[in-house]
Amino acid sequence: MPLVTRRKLPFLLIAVVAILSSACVGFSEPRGWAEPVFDGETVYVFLDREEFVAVALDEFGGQWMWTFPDEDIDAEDDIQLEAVYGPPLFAGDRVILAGFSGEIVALTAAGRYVPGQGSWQRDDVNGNIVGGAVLAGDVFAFGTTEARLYVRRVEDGGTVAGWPSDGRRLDGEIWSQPVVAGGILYVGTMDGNLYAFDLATGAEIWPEPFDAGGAIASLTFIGDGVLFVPTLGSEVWLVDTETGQARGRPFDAEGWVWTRPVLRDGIAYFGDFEGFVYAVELATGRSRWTYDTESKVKAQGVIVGETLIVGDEGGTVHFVDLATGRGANTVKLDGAGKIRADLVEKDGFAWILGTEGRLYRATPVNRSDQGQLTVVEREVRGLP
Amino acid sequence: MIRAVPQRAGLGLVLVGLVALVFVIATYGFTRTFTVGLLDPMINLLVVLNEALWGSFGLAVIAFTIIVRFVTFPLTLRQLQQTRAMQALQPLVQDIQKRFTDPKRRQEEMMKAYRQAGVNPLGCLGPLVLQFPVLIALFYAIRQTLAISPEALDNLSGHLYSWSYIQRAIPLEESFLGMNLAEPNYFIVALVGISTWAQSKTTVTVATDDRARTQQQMMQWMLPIMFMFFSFSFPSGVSLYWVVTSFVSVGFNVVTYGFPALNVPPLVAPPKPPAPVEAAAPVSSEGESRTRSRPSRELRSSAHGTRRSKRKNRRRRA
Repeated sequence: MPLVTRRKLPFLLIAVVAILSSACVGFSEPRGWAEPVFDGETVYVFLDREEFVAVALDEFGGQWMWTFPDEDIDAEDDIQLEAVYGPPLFAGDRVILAGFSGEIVALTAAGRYVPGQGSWQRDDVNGNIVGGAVLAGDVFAFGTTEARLYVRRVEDGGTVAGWPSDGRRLDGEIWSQPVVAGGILYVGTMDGNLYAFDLATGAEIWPEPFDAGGAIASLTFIGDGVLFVPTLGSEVWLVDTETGQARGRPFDAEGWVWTRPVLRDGIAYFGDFEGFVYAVELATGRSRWTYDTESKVKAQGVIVGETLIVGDEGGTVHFVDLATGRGANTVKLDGAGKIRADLVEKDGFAWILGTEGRLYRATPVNRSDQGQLTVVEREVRGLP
Repeated sequence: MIRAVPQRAGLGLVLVGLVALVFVIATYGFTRTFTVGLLDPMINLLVVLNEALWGSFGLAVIAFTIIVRFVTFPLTLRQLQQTRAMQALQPLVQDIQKRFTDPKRRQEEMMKAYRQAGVNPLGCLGPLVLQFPVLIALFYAIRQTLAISPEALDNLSGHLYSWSYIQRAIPLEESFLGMNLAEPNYFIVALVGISTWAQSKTTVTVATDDRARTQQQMMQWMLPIMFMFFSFSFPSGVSLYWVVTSFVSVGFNVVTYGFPALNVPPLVAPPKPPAPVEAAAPVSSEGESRTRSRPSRELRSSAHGTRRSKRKNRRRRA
């Protein structure tokens, strides 16, 4: 009698495949997609999962200033952020990081966790933090996947009057980074509702939340009392911050919209998961043009000069003429992985972070002999 | 001979199917074929079921597993029947093994016995091999649909059909009966153990000697423990699939084998035996010569096969 009979063979094989897939495939592993943040000539970037580095840029690439956590420091080794999806918050002499694991840590300006010298760590949060936190004076706010909205103090991560210590319970999971404008905290949920709260008191502002009809995974305040509310139902709404009502009809995209727009002259430029990039007039909701990247667009683009620069999940950078929507060039970034982190504009360059932890810069200025727009890699990883 | 025609026709169909599959894989690649042909339909069906069943992903997984197991039931039934026929042949197989020491002759005699009984020794592997990609896809579909991280949700978008009914259903509710289906859960781990044990218990195997009986008993406990160990690292949604599919298998086992402990007879009759073919006189390589014709019914008797075979052997020796 064989040890494993034929009846049990499929289950055993499934188990083996399952274990291999969980160990090797890793398609579900959180890795983070926080965009790089610049402060002068220093760039702060999450290279891989929870490896947070500060790099002083120079003409050759950059000098590695510090990395967090330092595995030689026991106190830092205990902090498990798992992955980080939102940008770090710079609050005075603190750098606050909110991890997917639900842990939040405040570092010193030198990137060190030193309890008693301004650093603190909190792990009293229910759920995972996906959208990152938003800073509002001496408090910061964030939501979690367990549908809880938190407002905490910058000073020590402690609770704030008007906001429950275990978070304010909403109806849906919170995946988007909350937005603060005029002392009001706006937050979207994955069940499609948009809420507005008085940051000081915690009171709800609108009589009822705005129903976007699809999951809200991203939220942007675009000025003039308007929120840009994209949904995974492929619709994009403009919502009046005062009334909580839609301004006009929604714009219908081809696929999920999970990105922030880049704005210029009353036009919003954004991409969707079907690979299209749209130029939409905010006043009328009319589409000026559509550009097809042929891969998902998760990252917010940037405008440099008269060129829109967009990165897609295929790892390709697209240079699109702002006026016509015609592609001027595309450059495939070998070894970049997917481009999910928002692009950042600095000094006439678009800075692009791939999921493989490489930082690139792109410029629309013609610098090559072939007359093509160029992407210059700034290799961050491996620097001394 | 009459049975050989449909068997050959079936074999022909399988061959045509295999050639078509190889062509598709060669054209589009294995990953794309697997994804578009199996994984994507399953993921979308899961999402549709989730919407139809009050937004409960747990109910969707249960319904989905039951549907898939019933759709593949003809394959499962064929596999179970082949296994049953193989089990019924064990006494004869052992008899042949005892009487013939020459491996070549032993093999010939065994193949002859299989032929007479209308059993293909690899017959129960065919349906199993066909089911295997389905089961793997099912596993991936549940894991993918749960979207346990932002990256997973991002990946999921590429698998969904562009119907607004499906697109608007995302993300799915992860909680079910107080469990987070995206994370491991002790309750479901316990259920995995119980259901796997029940499945082992209802799987009828013929223990022909003490050693085999001991191994069989050991497996009845080892398998549940092994699967419980696996499910500690799986999302509960995947473990829930495992539990449901195990209980469905228990049902299939009872339908096919019955449940002797409770005097429940099999609900599905075994396949019709082929017309008996006169068995050639088995001659051992050592020169033992016995001429006898074994009735085909005896070859296929499952309930008392071992006992009857021994009794007849004693009679023959006498």
